[in-house]
Amino acid sequence: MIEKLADLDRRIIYGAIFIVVLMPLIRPFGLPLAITSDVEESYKWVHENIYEDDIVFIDVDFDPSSAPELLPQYIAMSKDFMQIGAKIVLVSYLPGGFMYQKQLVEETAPEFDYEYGCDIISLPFKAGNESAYNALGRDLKSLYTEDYYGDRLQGMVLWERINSITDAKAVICFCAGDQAIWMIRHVGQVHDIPIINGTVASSGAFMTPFWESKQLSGFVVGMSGAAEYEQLSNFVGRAASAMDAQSFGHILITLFVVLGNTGYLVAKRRDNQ
Amino acid sequence: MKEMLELFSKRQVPLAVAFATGMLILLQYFLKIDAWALIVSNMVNWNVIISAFALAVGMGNLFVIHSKKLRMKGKETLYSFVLLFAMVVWFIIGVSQGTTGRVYKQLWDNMLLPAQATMYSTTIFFITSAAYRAFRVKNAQAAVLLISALLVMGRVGIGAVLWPGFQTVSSWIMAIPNTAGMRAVTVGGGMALVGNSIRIILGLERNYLGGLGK
Repeated sequence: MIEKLADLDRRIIYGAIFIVVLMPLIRPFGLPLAITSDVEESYKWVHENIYEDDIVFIDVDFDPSSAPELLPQYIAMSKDFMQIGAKIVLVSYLPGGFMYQKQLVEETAPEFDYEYGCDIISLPFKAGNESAYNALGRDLKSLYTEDYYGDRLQGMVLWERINSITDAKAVICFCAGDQAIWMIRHVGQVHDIPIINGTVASSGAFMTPFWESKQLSGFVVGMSGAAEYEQLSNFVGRAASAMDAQSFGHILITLFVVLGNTGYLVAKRRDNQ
Repeated sequence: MKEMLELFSKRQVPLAVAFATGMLILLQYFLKIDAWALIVSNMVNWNVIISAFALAVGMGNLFVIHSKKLRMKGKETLYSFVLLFAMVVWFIIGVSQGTTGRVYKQLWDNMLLPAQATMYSTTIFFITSAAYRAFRVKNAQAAVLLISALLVMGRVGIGAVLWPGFQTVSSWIMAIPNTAGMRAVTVGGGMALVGNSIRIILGLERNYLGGLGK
């Protein structure tokens, strides 16, 4: 009987994970959340180094597929910068990022009385992958002449304060791929500009060496990172409520692994006898 | 004679351009000359512009391939039709209204966003099933993998509240063994990239020329 645990029908697994994840999404339980040292250090770095009127560049390099993890991070951290009073320049080098730039400019910025052109600017998508990051580091002013809405950048109060990327106090890169590495390579290392990376959980292991070597000044990973940042900055967002679903999902996966191994070991012992 | 000239223009000229461009950009990192840096900056900006055109070429290519599939009426005709229809509709709306338009936003919010999010979120079923079947303690290495996975998974959410040690242990796993492995991969990949770039600059690597490179 116990041996059967080693070979459960996948429909049972799919059904169980569906119910376990769906329930807390419909009715969140409000499970407690521990803050990881990575997020705590990132939050601390922001509040010790970014002041009112400082310029920060936010690189919005994600699309709907990675938005469930990156959008809450992006909103929580952007709100934190707005609370501080930092000026924000939005850039994107992935087709798809522009919709989230628009969301920040048109929905979040007004909550903090941010005026477009003075406090926040949204720059258009640039193709070229790593070359675009190189161009950003080399000559920002000739890379961009118009904003996302097609208006001339020349004359905008915030744009007039910027001569090159070195005017940025920090660059925050929200991405699921190699973009943060390109940002480190062409902007962070060349111009000695602090880079903060918000990434998806599956890229966390890949980016950890850059965080350990201090090539990143901040490192926020996955939905949990977003929920922790929301908690630290006291902004109620969607990540904290979604963390219940993730916690229950983790518990169920652990349970299935234990069941599978129990069945496997019992079957193995029986075969040996 | 004509064939030789054609081969020269198709093979030797691209090799010379690759060599000159590669050397120009590479040496600029070692020689700090303003005029030189300006030339390289312009070249990098050209690359950004050319990449934007490449998107249009990609779209054209998709259109040609799937139009052909549509005419052949095979098993995948329906998929090709959906792709072409969606591409053409999005293109027309994007060009006519811009990406700030109301219809474009509605299509984005009500079609692309749920479709992509659904694709991504279905992985939870495969991950759970794969974890159940793959994490079996068949030997010592598998046991190490299983324990590491459970410890790192317990780091976030309720796990770290139930036992704070999850964070300590998983931080060590991420910072030491994971970083060591990832650095080896990254540095190895970087060395390979340097080697390949040198081969392209020197004209030893000619795959980008297609059949003419041989």
